[in-house]
Amino acid sequence: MMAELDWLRETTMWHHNRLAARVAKHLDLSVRYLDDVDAVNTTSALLPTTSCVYRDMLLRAGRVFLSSDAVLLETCKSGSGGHQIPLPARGEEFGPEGGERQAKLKLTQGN
Amino acid sequence: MTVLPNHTINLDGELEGFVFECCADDLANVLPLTKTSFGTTAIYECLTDGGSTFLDLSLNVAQKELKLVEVMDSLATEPMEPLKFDCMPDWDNDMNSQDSLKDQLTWREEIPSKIGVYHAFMRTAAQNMREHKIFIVMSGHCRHASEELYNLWLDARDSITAKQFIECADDG
Repeated sequence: MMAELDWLRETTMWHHNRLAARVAKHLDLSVRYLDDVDAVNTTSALLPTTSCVYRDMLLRAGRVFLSSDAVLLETCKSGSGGHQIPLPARGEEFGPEGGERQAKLKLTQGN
Repeated sequence: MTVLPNHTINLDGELEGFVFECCADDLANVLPLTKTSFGTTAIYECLTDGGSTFLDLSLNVAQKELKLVEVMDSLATEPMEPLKFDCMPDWDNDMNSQDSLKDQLTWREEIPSKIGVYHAFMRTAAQNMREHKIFIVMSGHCRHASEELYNLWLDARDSITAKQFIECADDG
C-alpha cells in the first residue's frame, strides 16, 4: 500500500499542475494541456518544467529526515529551491511503494 | 537539527530553514512537523510563440493581473471540497484493477502561497539567440490535507515511532 505521505507529496504536485492549467486557460497562455486521468472527472493539467518539494520527509537507512525550506536531493527530481541536502548512501530502503501517481498522461491540445 | 543560512521565524512563530534528522525508532513526537507539509514550488514554461504572448501580457498588465485575481477568487467560491485524505484512492480494492488508481472524490484547487506569471528574455539551448519566455510559477502546499496530516500526527505522535509515521500515517 502506498503511504499517505507519498500520496500527499505527489498529489500536491498534481494540485499545482491543475492550478497552472486553470491559470493558463484564463490568461490565454500557449501551453500543452494534459489530462489528469486519476481525477474523478478528467481534469486538465500542465507538466512542470521544473519543481521541488521544500517541506519534505524521508526515511532512509534507518534515519528520518525532515526539511524546511530545503531540498532533500534524494526525492528531488528537478530544480532546487533553497538549500540542497545530500543524504547518506542508500542502505535500508523504505522508499515509496506506489511510486509515481499513475501519470497516464495524454496530450489533449496545444496552442 | 541543522539550521540553514536561510532560517527564519514565520508569522506563526515557527522556525523555518532547517534539516532535521532522527533515528527511525524515535517516537514521532520528536519530529518538528508543521501544517505545511510537502510545500512545493513548480515552474511551467509556456510554448514559444515568437513573443506574441509577451507582447499581450506587457501591453495589458493590469488586465492580466485582474484575470489572475479572478482565478484566485473562483477558487474560493467553488462548491467542491478541497483536497483531503478522503480523496485518496482506495488502494486495497483498486490494486488489482487494470485502470489507474483514481481519486475517490473530486477536489478543487486551493489558493497557493505564491503564484505569478513571469517573463524572461533568455538564450535557448538549441539556438544561439534570445527568446521571450513566459513561465507560470507557483509555490505552496495543500492546506486542508496538510492540516489533516498534522492532526493525525498530533493524535498518534506519543504512541508511534517516526518510522511508523513516515510509512503510513493512518496506522496511528
